Amino acid sequence: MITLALYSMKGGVGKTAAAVNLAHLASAGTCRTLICDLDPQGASSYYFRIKASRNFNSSKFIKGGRFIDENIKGTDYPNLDLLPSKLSYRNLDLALDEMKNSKFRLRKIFGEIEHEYDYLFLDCPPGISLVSENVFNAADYIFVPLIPTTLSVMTYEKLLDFFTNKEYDAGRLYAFFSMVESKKSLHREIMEKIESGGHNVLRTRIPYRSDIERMGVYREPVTAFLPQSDSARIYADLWEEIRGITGKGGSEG
Amino acid sequence: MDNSLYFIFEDEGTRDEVLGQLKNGLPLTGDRRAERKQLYLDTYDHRLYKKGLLLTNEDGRLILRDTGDGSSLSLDLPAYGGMPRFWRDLPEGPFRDNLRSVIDVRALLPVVGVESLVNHLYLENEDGKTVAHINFEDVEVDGDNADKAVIHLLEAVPVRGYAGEFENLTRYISALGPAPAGGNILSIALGASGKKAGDYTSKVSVVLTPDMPSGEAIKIILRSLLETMRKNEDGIVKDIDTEFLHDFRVAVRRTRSALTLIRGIFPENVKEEFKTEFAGIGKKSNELRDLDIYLLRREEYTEMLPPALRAGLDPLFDIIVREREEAHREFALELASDSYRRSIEAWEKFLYEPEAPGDALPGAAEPVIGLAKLRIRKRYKKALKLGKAIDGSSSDRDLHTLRIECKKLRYYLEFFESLFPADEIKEVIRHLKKRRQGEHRRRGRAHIGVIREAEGNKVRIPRQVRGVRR
Ligand SMILES: Nc1ncnc2c1ncn2[C@@H]1O[C@H](COP(=O)(O)OP(=O)(O)OP(=O)(O)O)[C@@H](O)[C@H]1O
Ligand SMILES: [Mg+2]
Repeated sequence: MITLALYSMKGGVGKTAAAVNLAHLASAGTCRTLICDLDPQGASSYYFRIKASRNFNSSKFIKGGRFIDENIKGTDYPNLDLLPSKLSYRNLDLALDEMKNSKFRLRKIFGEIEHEYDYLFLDCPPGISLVSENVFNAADYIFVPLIPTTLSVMTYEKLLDFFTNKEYDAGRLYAFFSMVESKKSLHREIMEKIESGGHNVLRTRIPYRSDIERMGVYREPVTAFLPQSDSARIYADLWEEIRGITGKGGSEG
Repeated sequence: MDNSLYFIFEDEGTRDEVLGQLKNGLPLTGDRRAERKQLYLDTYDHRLYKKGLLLTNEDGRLILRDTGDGSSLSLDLPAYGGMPRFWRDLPEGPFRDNLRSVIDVRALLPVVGVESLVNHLYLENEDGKTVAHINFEDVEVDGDNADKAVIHLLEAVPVRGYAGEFENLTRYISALGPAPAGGNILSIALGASGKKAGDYTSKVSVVLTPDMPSGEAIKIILRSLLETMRKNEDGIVKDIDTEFLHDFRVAVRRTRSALTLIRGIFPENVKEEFKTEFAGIGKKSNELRDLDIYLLRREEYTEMLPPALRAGLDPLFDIIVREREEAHREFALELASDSYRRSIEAWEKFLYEPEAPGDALPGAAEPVIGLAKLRIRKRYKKALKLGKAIDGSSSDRDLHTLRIECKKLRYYLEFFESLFPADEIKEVIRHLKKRRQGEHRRRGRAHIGVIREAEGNKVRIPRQVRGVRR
């Protein structure tokens, strides 16, 4: 199983949009894929029209084992499952803090389902917390959507500093541009600057598109409801690029 | 799908009626039509089926499904590669590894072909989330018999995490029509084609009762062994895989062992005559079996050499392959020969035709339970005695004698298995088998010794191997 996190400190940058579409693309080749919604807002669960069971909560989640098994739900797409989040995930930090090896808890519980899936996508909440450190320890690769604006870039640099200070391997960290409006000269300038700055930056840029925004209305990945669209094609490019980085891993479902 | 429930209807009309009622009563959407062609594959002895696995070829894609948990693996076959028969015909990877661990040396054979016209519907909840699927299918089954059977069925497919919704749905369907049929699509298709999955076994599977006359019981055992022999003949001649010959030979050996039971039950000359016949048949297959084993262990032997030397074995194996082809031709001819046919006919006459007065001795009428206990006890005592005499100074020969004795004991236990409490006797048989497998492994190593000695010309090995130039 290859674990891919969609993460950024900043909110509203396209993490969930990317997680949902990439996971849908990943599962379309016979790869068994799971999305784990880590955000108490439950945006990716919402996109798949999935609600967690009434008795599921954050402390059951971090117990793992059968609680995970019983709460994974099949999406409307073959090979694609989702572990929905609950509002109580707001307390995930506190709950993790009480555990032994509190920074490696997610890694442990995902290790238990390692043989069930070829890909695991983590849709992360914004911010930097114990949850995010768990993500950094659990994920093989971390993908950071970056809106080409001054503030976004500043937070990205903060993240890089954090990795250096905590001695996390920044080699697993990849940025890609999100919600790009190439008509804006500021966007263009910032992208050029970052791309020449020696960071891991993916070639594929996700433009700002109204059909991506409309995912919230259709409640489906754009790659599913408009598979022929430009937006779907660009996500497919992004997935191909990511697959190139992660190696083929699990081409057999 | 595999944790699906199937509902089978007598005809299209009743099925469509239920469909109409379902559409009226439930929020169903979709209605996509698709055609699906599946060829089910398994080994002759249905190893996959017995492990709860289904293997299909669907338009060039192999799919291996686990009916236990609904999981599956798939593999796209190369366009011009032909149908794979053995695990080694598949590309390396998890698919091949999984298949290998179940089918081992056996070949894959087509079991049944299924062509379905599928109408797909979704059941959604109030969020528009699909919580179950319903397929309406017309399934054409293509079995042994020329005329195809058509089944009209309805398949309810669960979605993970929506068990409650699935239960409601299946209850709803049951209320409108038939109860769900047990099993999966393969067993349903096989049922329609008049075949049964998993009906071959190489084990001695006879059911005896304690007070059955000994003569009758022994004939039942011997008939079952003859059946196993005859079932495997075709696979040997067609050279489907090496297991046909193996099972055939085991049945021959068991027959010889069972013949030792007939003292005091049938005349001594019956025993002598047929023991010689079956010894002869077994012997004629020895060379083919030996050569099969060399080839089956090719990988193992090759890996015993340092990588640089491995290619050096290829010419030897080329010769073994040719030798084996020759040995196979000879044995296939033997099975088609008049003398073989005559032996079998004489044997069938003894087993199936009513006895003339004087053909049976007084012991034939005694209850079989007495015979079983007496003969097993004797064998057991003998094995125990031999076993006790084994110590550090014992020769290979002594060990071999003990091994043979234990095998005879196991055969007796297997013949009379149905007369004793199942769990106890199974446990004993399992232990005796384990011992034998240990021996086998040792024998495997001895085979290498055989090859090494080839240069010294001391041991019977393929004729031309001796001529290999170095
Ligand atoms: N490329 C895009 N073009 C237009 N709208 C987009 C694009 N990507 C995301 N959006 C929209 O922007 C909003 C935020 O996107 P998304 O939820 O994917 O970001 P996020 O990083 O997951 O947010 P959060 O931090 O709240 O989890 C959503 O309404 C989404 O539909
Ligand atoms: Mg989000």
